[in-house]
Amino acid sequence: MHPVAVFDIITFLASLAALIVLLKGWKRALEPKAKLVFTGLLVFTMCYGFSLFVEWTWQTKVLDRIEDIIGALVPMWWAFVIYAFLAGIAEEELREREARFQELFDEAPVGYHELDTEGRIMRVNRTELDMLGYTAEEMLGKPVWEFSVDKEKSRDTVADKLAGDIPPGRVFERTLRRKDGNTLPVLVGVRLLRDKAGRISGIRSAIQNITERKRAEESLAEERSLLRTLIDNMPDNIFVKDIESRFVVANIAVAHFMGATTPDELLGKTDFDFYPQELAARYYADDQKVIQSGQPLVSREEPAVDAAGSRKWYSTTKVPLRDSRGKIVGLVGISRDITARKLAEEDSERLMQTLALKNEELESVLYVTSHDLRAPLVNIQGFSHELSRSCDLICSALRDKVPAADVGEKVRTALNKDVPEALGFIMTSAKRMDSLLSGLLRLSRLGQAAVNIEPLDMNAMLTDVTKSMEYQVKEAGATVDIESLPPCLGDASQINQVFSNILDNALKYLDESRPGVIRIYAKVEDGQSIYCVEDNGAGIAPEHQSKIFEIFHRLEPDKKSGEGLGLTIVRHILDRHNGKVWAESELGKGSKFFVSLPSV
Amino acid sequence: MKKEGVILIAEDDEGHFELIKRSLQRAGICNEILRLADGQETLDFLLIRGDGPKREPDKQYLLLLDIRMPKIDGIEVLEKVKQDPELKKIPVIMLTATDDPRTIERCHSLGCSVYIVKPVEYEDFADAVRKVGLLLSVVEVPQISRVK
Amino acid sequence: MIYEIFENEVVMLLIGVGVLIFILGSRPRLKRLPASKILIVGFYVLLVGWVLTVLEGFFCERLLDYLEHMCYAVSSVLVAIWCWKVFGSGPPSRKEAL
Repeated sequence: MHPVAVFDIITFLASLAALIVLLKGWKRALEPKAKLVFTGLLVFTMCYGFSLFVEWTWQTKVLDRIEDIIGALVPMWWAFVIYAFLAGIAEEELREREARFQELFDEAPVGYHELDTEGRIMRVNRTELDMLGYTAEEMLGKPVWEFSVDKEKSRDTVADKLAGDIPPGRVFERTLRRKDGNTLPVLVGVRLLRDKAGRISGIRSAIQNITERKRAEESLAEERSLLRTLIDNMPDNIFVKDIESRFVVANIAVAHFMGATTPDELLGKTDFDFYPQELAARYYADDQKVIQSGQPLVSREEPAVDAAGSRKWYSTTKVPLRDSRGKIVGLVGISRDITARKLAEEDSERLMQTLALKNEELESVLYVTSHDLRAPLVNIQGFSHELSRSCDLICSALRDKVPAADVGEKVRTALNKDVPEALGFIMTSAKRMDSLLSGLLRLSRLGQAAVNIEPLDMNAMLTDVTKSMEYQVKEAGATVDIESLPPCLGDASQINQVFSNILDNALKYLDESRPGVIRIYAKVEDGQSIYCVEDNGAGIAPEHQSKIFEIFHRLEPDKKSGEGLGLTIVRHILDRHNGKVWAESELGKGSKFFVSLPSV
Repeated sequence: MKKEGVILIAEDDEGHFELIKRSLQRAGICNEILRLADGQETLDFLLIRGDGPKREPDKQYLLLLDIRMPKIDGIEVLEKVKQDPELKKIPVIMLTATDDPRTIERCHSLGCSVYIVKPVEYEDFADAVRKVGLLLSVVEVPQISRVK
Repeated sequence: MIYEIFENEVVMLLIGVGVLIFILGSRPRLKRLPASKILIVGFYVLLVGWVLTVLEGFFCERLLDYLEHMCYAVSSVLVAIWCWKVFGSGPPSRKEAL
């Protein structure tokens, strides 16, 4: 075989093989048109190869004509093939671009729809479908106002837009109806579509869901209204000022205080518009200090003058107000009317002063009592004795020098009986008075003595008290039982006095018809140790029970000794210890004296 | 105390003075007794001024002092006496009706020698004064101004 | 006529050069074709064959004739390989397809 024929048969066979592969995998790639053209190329190449093979194998010119024609067709056909391929590529590119555009259209964060000149929806993107809950089939071809809550208005707007009456670029709010019946507030942006001739061919609308924004706006409005209501109904003055001390917010209380009818009248004004110059300057200085230092001014008590001109006291707190970046943009103030409290404070201060004065007065009265009232008593007592001494002298002189008969019976009686008896009364009374005075003095000193509070071992104390009264106990033929007692807080010597006095009382008023039994016991209740001294003595009649703690009150002045001060002192001491004393008694059966003191 | 020593009794109450004097005399004190009616008179006497009687520099004195007196009270007198470099040598016995512990405390801190409360009970009173008398009979009183 | 020039062959060459220019001009686009290099090289080889056809009329007739036919064969084989690459293997997928 001729070597050239070998190449030709290769050409033929390769082309044939390519053709078979192409036909078998026809669906796998490329545009049908390009493939058709390419198939032609392969057929021509195959034929060309075959004709050359025939020519070279058999050295014949039979196929020469065909060979020439096909040979000329092959390069031309290559041009077709390349062109067809390029067209396919261009088409593919176009499709890709369109797909990309569709994707953008569908996946845009806003809803899109396009209307024709009749207002029917021609195109709608996936975002809008999702927004409204419809499928594309349910929306396409329908007039757009079908999906609006206010159909009339929507239709008019569409008509106006299509007529070109609405300037482009306008954005407005609409409420749409979802498929499930819910409403959806949206923001609509409109763009007119025009054909090549410039005629309006439709509308493209961009739709933004503003539910969240609406909700945020509503909750903001609600919050504002809540705050406003709160602020306005606060009895305190509440205000916000900017850095120049102009009112930005003020509540009704502030407005009324400053003489305005509504808080709005204050806005933009300063304290200088309402207060006397001096006061306003002071407030301004405070404001500026807070704003410049950033330090709050807390509960500053300051005088103020209200719109009616009456003087008031206010407790004011001013706190710097910062913006989101922390820069001070003004201050928030809260101011409370404390006039009543201030007046009360002044009153109580005055009262305290008066009280202190009275106390001093009382002390000096007591001092005078103790000294000046005793001084004359010394004389009464002293000179009564001198008189009695003189009387004795006269008596003995008469006895010695003058016979009894010379002195009249009356004189003798006077000297021996009447005068000494009178002097006796005078001296007893003076003594009694002295004891009353010293009692009074003791009571007054009690009020001045320091109270040294400490934990007290009451078992030890009452054992001591009983021991020191052992003689009186024996005298009265009584027994004293002391149970285990809880400790308490108090001044040792004063509490000792309390129990001495109560025990002394109990011993004093025992019933003589039966042996006296005194029992001392205690319990702890609500942080108080309550001690009880119980006797089986004479008891106290109900009508006397309320008086036993009164000063100088004595149940049996003639029978029993004492000044009537014991229980008064007890009550005084307990008052100063925040303690209490009270009695329960039944006439003829006995008494119980209770003492309560703070427990440890 | 030597016979020439003078007992000064600063006492506004004449009755009290009389009772004190009698009790002292009954207790066997026979020194000269001089009554000064109030604090002013007492100070005038001691400081040698005014119109009334005056202290004689060479004599020995002892002062019985009441507290509540018109014009100048006993505590002030005590204070003045104890501040004076010469007079402070005079023994001062407070003899007064008040038994206020604070007053007693104050008198002692100012430098009184003895503090006695006047008892109302006559027997007690006489007894107290008698004891003062006994005290006076044994104490030695310094001379105020030494011979230079 | 000394040289055996067939106007037929010149026409082939001219058309071929035109196609070459066309290919060169739209090469960026053609690159999107799968395995485009094989196809284009196949064309280049074919074009060389055509050049040789014209040249063999002037000198080395036999050698150039050999080479010419060899070029045709190589070109066909390359085109067949291209076909195999594009249609012959693998399932149809969007990416490979045009």
